[in-house]
Amino acid sequence: MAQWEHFSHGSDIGIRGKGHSLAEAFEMIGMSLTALMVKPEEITPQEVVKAEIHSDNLDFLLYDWVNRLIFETATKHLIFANFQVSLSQDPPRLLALMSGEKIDPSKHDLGVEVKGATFTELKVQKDNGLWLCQCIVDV
Amino acid sequence: MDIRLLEKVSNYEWHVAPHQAMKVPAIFFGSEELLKNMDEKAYQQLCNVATLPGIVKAAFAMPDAHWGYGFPIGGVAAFDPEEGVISAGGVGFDISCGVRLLTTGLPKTELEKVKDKVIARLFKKVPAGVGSHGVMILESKEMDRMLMGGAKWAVQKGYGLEKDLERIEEHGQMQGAVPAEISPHARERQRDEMGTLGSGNHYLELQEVNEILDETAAGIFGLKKGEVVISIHCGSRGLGHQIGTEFLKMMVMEAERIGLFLPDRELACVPIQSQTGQSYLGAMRAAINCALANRQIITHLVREVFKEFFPSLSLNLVYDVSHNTCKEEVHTFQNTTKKLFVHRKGATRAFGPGHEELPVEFREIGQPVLIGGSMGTGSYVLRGTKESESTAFSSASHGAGRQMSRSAALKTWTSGRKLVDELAHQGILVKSISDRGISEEAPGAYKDIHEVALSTESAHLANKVAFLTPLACIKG
Repeated sequence: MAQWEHFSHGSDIGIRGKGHSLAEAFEMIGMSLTALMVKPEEITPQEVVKAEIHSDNLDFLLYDWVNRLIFETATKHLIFANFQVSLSQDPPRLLALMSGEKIDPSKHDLGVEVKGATFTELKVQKDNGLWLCQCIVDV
Repeated sequence: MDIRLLEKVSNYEWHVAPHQAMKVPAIFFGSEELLKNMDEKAYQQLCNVATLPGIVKAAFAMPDAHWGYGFPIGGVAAFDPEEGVISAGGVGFDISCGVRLLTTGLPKTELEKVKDKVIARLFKKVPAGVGSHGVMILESKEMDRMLMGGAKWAVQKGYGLEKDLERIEEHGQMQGAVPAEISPHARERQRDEMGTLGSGNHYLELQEVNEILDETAAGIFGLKKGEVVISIHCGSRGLGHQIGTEFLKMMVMEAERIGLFLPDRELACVPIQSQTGQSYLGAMRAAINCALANRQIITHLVREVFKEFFPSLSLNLVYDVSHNTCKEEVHTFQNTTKKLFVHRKGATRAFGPGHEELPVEFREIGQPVLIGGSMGTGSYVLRGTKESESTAFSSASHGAGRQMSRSAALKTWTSGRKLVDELAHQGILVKSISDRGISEEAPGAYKDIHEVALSTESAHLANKVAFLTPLACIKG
């Protein structure tokens, strides 16, 4: 089933998404990223943002996806709790609708700011019938 | 780390001879205790750095080194300008992240009377944490001026004093910055982030000079036992992060294209003389200026708050050091003197006595080196030595260094609130908008700062000058 989690790194932290489809795994890694900053259950989806990403391969598509979400949070102070991703592997391309709200310290239990995705432990692969994507993010 | 993998050269220096693709040795500095507790990945990462083209002498790990991405945090590597490479991962995402130290001349006893009010005002005045924004909006042309001018730009805008500039590396303004290399996305991320602290391990801390370990140097640095000093730890904010992100991908692609074999993609690098290498240098130097300006603006905000409580005090800058950089420097090694590009990823520059880059008043004793510790233990001030040049291209430790991952810290200290209460019981007031952030930054998640400082001194990287203990801290 679709799920997200965090995993350990010496100084930073790993984000991971799993799903029946690659699109679902990308949605889940979005949740994993959100959960570093704000508890997803505290977010009321109020604003919708669109993203369209074209990359050279699936690894770059994941890297660009995570960085796009970080960029939206950094510049618009938006945090997302809902992701609808449609994705093609060849050519690697992603369309997404993200819904969320502006960060509000009086409402949200805040975690850490995320600086960027890294290629450390970056993986996009199918494992026992489930798609998995992950990377370490610098916090 | 399995220390049987290392050849013991002295009690504080351990070598790995070049093997497989390594071009130079990997050298670890630190006590046996620190090395035993260092993670295996730091070993692998340092050996990987030693394989990079054009690396000279050795790949070095400072006593506070730990697992990073590509380079270990605490890694130092110098490259030949013609044959060497430059690596975005070898600098890090938070370009020019660093620490600055201010003296106040205020006895600790005087601060204690109003400490809760002072820290509350600072917490209100200095933006910190996820989603925070700064005191100004920088549009394109002013952004260019900031990217060229660094702390000098900030002083010209009224944030700080002209005399501050001499107490900042590069005299407050990094030369060679090319704002045209900064992407629209990087500019957009920085638009409202000037004068913000950020989060993670960044902090603004009021400290007491607890112990003087070198009277002469402490006197020259203006440090007096029992007085309050202020440390500011932060970097180039969203602009630096975005530059790191963009160039890392560019370098991964280019390294593949030119057939550069890399044992780890995160080590992505390009020849210094390549177009991408030169673009990165121009962008990174502009990001260094952004970090210097950022710390300068925060300094101004801190001074404003102190003026409210102590109108007659002058807050003087001891020094501002960056610990995520790649700088072109002249070094002497193997009987030759030449320019090198020195990557310091989580390592402080530590020029020794006589270095012409230093302010005149520091030339006798060497550069102040600031090792920032956790909010519960303390920090050290050291100074560069004559030996630091021949030891590791004038480099030293930058912090306590994590010994526990963030996830493990969150499991160990489940309540940030409880930690805050415990620290308050010890007399240390902590303010943060992030309960989780406090747990992740728990003092127990870091190595023993005393062991790191002792190792730094014993390995001849820098000599101890003073020990500072926390009184109140703002965590991002």
